[in-house]
Amino acid sequence: MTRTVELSSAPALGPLFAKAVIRTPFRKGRELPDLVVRQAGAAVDRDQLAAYADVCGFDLNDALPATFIHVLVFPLQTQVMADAAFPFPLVGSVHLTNSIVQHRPVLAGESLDIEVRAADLRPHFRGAQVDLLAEVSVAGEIVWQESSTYLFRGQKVPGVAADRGPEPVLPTVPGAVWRVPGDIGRRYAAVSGDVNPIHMRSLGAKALGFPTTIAHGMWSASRALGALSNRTPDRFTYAVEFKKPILIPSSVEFVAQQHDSSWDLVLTNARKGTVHMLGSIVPEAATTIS
Amino acid sequence: MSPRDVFVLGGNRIPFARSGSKYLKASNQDMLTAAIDGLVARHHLQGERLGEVAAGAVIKHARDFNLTREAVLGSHLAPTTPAYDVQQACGTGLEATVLVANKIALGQIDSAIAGGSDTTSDAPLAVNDDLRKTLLKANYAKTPRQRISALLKIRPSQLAPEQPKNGEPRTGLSMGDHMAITAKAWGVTREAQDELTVASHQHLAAAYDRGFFDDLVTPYLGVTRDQNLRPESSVEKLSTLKPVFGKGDAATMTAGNSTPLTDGASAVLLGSRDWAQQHELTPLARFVDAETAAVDYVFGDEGLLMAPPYAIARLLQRNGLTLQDFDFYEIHEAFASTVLCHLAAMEDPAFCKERLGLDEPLGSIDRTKLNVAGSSLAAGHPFAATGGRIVATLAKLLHEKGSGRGLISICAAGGLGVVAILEASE
Amino acid sequence: MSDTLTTLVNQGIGKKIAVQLGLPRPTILRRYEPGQVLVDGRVAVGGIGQGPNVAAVQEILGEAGISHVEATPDTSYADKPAAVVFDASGARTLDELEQLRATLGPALKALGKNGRLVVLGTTPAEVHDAEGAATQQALEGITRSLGKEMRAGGTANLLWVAPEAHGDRGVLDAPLRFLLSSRSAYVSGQPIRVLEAPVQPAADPHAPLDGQVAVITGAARGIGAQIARVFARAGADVIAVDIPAAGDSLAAVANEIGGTALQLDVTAADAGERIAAAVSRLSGHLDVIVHNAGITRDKLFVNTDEARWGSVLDVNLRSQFRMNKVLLDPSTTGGLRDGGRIISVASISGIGGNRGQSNYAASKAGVIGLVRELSQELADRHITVNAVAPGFIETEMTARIPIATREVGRRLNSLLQGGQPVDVAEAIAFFAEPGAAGVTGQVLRVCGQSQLGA
Repeated sequence: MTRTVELSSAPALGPLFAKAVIRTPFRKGRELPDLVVRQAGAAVDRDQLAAYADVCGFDLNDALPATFIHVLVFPLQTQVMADAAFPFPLVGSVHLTNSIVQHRPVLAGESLDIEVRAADLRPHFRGAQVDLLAEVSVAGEIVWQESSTYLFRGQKVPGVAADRGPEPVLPTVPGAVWRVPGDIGRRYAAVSGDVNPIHMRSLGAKALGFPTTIAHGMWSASRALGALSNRTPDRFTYAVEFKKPILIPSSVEFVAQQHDSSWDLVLTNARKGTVHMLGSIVPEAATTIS
Repeated sequence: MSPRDVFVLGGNRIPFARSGSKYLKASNQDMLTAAIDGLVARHHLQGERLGEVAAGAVIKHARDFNLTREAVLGSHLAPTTPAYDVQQACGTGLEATVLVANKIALGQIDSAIAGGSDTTSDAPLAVNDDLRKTLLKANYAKTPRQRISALLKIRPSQLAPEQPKNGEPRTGLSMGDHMAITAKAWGVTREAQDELTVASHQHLAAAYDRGFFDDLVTPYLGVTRDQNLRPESSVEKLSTLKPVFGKGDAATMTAGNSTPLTDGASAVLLGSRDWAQQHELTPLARFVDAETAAVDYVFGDEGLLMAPPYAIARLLQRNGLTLQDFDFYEIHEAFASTVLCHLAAMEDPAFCKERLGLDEPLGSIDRTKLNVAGSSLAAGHPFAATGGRIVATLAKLLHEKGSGRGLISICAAGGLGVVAILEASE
Repeated sequence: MSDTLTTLVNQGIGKKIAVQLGLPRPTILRRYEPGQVLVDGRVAVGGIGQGPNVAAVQEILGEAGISHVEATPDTSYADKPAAVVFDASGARTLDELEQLRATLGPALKALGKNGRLVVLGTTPAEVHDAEGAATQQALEGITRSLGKEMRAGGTANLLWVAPEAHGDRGVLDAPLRFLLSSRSAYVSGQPIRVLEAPVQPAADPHAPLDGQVAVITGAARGIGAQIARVFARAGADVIAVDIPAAGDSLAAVANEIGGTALQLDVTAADAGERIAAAVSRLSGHLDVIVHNAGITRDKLFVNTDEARWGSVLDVNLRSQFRMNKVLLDPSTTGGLRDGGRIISVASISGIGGNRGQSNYAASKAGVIGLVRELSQELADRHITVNAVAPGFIETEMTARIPIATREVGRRLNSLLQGGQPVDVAEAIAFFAEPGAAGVTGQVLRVCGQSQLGA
């Protein structure tokens, strides 16, 4: 039977991370808990929205960036993954892909009902992967959905991992160059609440096996959407796949190519050309995440 | 009331100086005032109330919020002359000319000065964004305690100033990087760029030598000629310079065939026929028409500086002219490759058909009519001052010839292009 | 540029010390300010016999609101007269000069600070008996000597009036007023010849050039800039000309005086045409041209190369011929009108020569020759042609002379000081006045009666 946790406000992420770390040695099991975390009547903090728009390159207005809603949802995702019954350690998880469906623009003044659960535990060639599914509704109308896939490295689950898939064909047109400052991790953490140590300080990143601090994947996804914010339709699906992490500081090249009314997005290292992120924006809600 | 004819009656600029040298201590306002005052002295406009003065600067201090009006108040024009600032990147000077010309044509005003000024020597440095926010917060604080607690949040790292960025905000690329991409796409060679550069220097030097600029330039702070001018410039010498923009085979653009950062100001006097007559001024050229275009260089596949061909196509069509119907072509040399890309594009049937929607390409021009008195590669390019330099130069060329028609084309940051037609006044 | 000594020795302690040390104590000269009264006090007027010009002189003074006393050998001067005017033009015998001696002695003794002596005579060349000519020539020796004896900024000058012009208030008015006024502060010991001529009196004596168009070359700085200012003060529409490289100073001068700046190298082949074109934008014709532009390229003669020689002659002299040719052509729109004025700037170097200035002296002496000949050629058109020859004038240029040389240059004249650019400008503006129609072909030294080239 489904266990439901009702939150009256978004949980503080610092304690959640701390709790998750403490519980790490005790985690066991290879099944996802049948758990739904809900927050009814979530409201947007406009100061937070302004700070987010600044960090991610959105113009500030009343319509919420589709990726900003992820920020509202993320504490609930964390709550699910930090739950005692969640089989894998939260710290060290890797965000692999993210898909957002915006059914209609969501406005800052609207009261949002959020619901998050974990689904589809399956193998990955480097461990196990899980989808965190989120749904946001306003007065019963589903306005926004998301599926975030996380990798838990070295974890084994039954089944056969899918192939890596073919190497993507990269566009040849020149793109925009963004300078990614060394403090972008701390700045995005401040507006998103995602205080994962790998984004904050190089020491924390090194402790978890990265050469230095890395930018949040969702920051790149947000920044890319921000660059195109006035060219996206009201209803769209925004899917991204995170490849090599962006070690900061760094310069990245962003290419957006339009095909009919869809966009293909690529974010690469400006010097070496290694791919950080692939993405697409497709008009209309092509799919509904179930 | 049908539109009236509008005439260019004179022009003046200070010599353009290389950034960080002779005009290091001059502000935009100083330079604009000097340019206006030189024009006033030449055309006996002391104490005159003009219809308006429109000018601007691309790189501007917050204190210069009313730059042009302040320059007018510091000049010998009547203090009752209204003024306002215009800013359209490198198109500022020409766009200001278009604005005042339109007002004169409509009879709203009878006379005006259009101009521009820019300095990269006296560019504003911004404080770090975090520091700025902290200081603003301290400023808004209601109690001393709030103020102190706000100020205590200042961190040493915030004290480093933000460097002004010479790049397109939406692409992060410098204008040169953008141009290198376009130059490669159009196959513009290093040699062709260097040849155009040498021609610019030689034409400008020759124009100075024959006294062409005697009534177009007023010395300033000891500078009597454009400091960037190298009359002895040659393709051989230019060929030794290292490319500074683009990579690999796209690396054809050097400091020689690109305009350097420059300081300077210019001003152009325009008026109706009656006003010119009342003030005993000789119309040099009629301001015929103008067009501004913009291209999607951000996510479209057009080059940043490729808007002028679009503007030219529309302007020619509206005026029932062909590209060959001109005696002078003044194409702003942001980079040598910019001019060559525009010319190549206008000759290219595919570009003209697909991009400009023309059945026939605009075609080629007689290169001996191009920038005959030199242009930005030799004179330098203080962004907002270039439009005034070109309008005055072309007007005088047409007046000297006594007949004919000239085309002005200026590309600008943000994918903009401003073009205009002048005709010799009869 | 300021003459520190003059200021210093005239103030408090400095004055005491200067008196004790026996340093020359130059007077601060009275100079013209708009609206200034002609002279500060009464004028003593006398003459030999029935002086033919006395009545005209009295009328001119009366018009200017100046009262006069009769100067005789017996006059006792209760208050210090500001000036003495003595009409000796009727004198034809040496005996008659005694009358001059007896009358001027007490008058000059009583003369106040910045006093003026103007002697009127008859041009000796027009007197056709030997004693008469000698008598009139003697007046020059007398005024030149008195110039050197004048104290406290006083000047002595001579008006040699042609017989046909005797008693002609029209032609006498402007020269007499110039010599009496503070506008001639640095002019002393000089004769000015006055001919008969048709005169259109100026409507406003304080703005005699009202409505006239004047071109002034070399107007960006120094004497040229001052000429432009004085012309503007006198009501002229000034077209200020200088080389393009001096355009910033030129614009500043033009804007200051409400004139028009014309950047032009006077040696350009089309300089005359371009001036005429600029004039025609303001008016149909030109009223006055002042050839002031000049350069120096000093070197001892034996070291002077072709370039130094040629450039000085070209700028200072040859350019004037070229411009005059165009401007004097009656078919030129914007050319010089009949009755117009040509005024050139010569130099006492052109009269007395100067070491290291053979090229400059050649050009300036040439100017004098040009003026004398051209004035006769243009007499029919009532165009007057004159020159001023400045002496030591305090300018940026003289400020660069080593101090010892500069001090000598400054003091070697009757006024014991250097002149100001405005003194040269006033003399030029005088030539330009409508009232100066009777003065042509002359070179007026503005030198404080310098001993150089005298």
